[in-house]
Amino acid sequence: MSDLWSDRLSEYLDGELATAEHAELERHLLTCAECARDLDALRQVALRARALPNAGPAADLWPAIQRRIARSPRRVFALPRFELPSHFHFTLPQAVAAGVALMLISGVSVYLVLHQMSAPLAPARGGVSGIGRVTGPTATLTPNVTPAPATQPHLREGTAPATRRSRSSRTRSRRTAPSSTPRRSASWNRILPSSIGRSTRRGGRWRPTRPVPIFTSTLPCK
Amino acid sequence: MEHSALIALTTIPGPESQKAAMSADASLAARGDVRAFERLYREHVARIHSLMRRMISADEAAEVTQDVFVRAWEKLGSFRGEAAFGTWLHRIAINVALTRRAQLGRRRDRMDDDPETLEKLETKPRHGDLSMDFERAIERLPDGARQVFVLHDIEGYTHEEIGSLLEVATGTSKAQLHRARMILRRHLGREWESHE
Repeated sequence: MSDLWSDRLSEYLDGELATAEHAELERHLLTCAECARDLDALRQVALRARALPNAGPAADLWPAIQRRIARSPRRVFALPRFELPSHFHFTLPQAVAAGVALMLISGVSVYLVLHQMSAPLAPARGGVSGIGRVTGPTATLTPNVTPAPATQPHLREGTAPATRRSRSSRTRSRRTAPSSTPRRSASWNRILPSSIGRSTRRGGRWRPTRPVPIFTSTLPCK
Repeated sequence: MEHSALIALTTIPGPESQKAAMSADASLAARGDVRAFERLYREHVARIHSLMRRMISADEAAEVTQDVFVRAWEKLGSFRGEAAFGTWLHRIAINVALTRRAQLGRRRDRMDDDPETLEKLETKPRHGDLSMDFERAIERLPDGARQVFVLHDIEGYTHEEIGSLLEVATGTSKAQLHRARMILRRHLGREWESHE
């Protein structure tokens, strides 16, 4: 038998009827024995379903699974998360984003520092002569500041070839360097790339307007 | 005596410690620890296999259960521990089951009535084990009604969740559930008659 309410019994059982419908169905159940019997049977079905035990497979599946996962291409293992006391977790995308942000900040910082370092050096006439000196088994840099005599055009821009200058002239030039001339330390010369020096076209050739730093190492020469 | 009983009580792992151990195993397995993953398998295989048996069939349950654990191993890197490992694994199992059903060509139009189903269930239960008979009755439900019945009445999903999983309307899910219950009600009626 089917009446207006027989198809709504499951909803009533699950508490999904609206309040008015719920009340009306309850009144109907008082008068309809068949619906009341069906409702009781449906309740038994639901209870039986919830009580069903879970049964494992007849045979152990682990050996086959182990073989398959040994061949399985695993894309990404979870990275160990940084456990912070305040329950912060870094997932892989977050760690990558943080790394990129750190690289950007570092790049901008280095650019700004280099830009500030190169700005006061531009008008210098004497400049720093980036001539390295090898002393013994260790290569070290001795930056030399050279005044730019007008009579020595090849030294004006501090671009004189190292072979043209004697050791004594380098010592002299260091002594007579104007105090206003900025000097770069050896450590700066180690990190500045040679392309930092600006170039001007003179005599048909591009020449740097500032001395080109020479990269040296404190490692023993072999 | 009381002291030893107290020690015994304190050494029994409770649900929280079991959950913590499972989470630790999931973390280890995510880093490639196969032994930890085996422990997770042992813990969950019965529930997953039963789900597969009810959702698909007893014949294919073993193979699909393997698929579930292999898929879980492959996706462990995405397990963030926000939900319990069992919940996460269960969701993978549901997806694997639905994919398998699609591969088997059991389309959603199977939601339509199958008049033969009721006749199939009219046979009297043959097993002495009532749970086994009830399982067999579930297996013989029409596909649509069976999926909704398993997900709602056995696994505890809501109609909204079932609608989302199966891509059907909530009303359809409710109707299929009622239909499955009515069919099984007849089965239980037969069962009770046979025991009287």
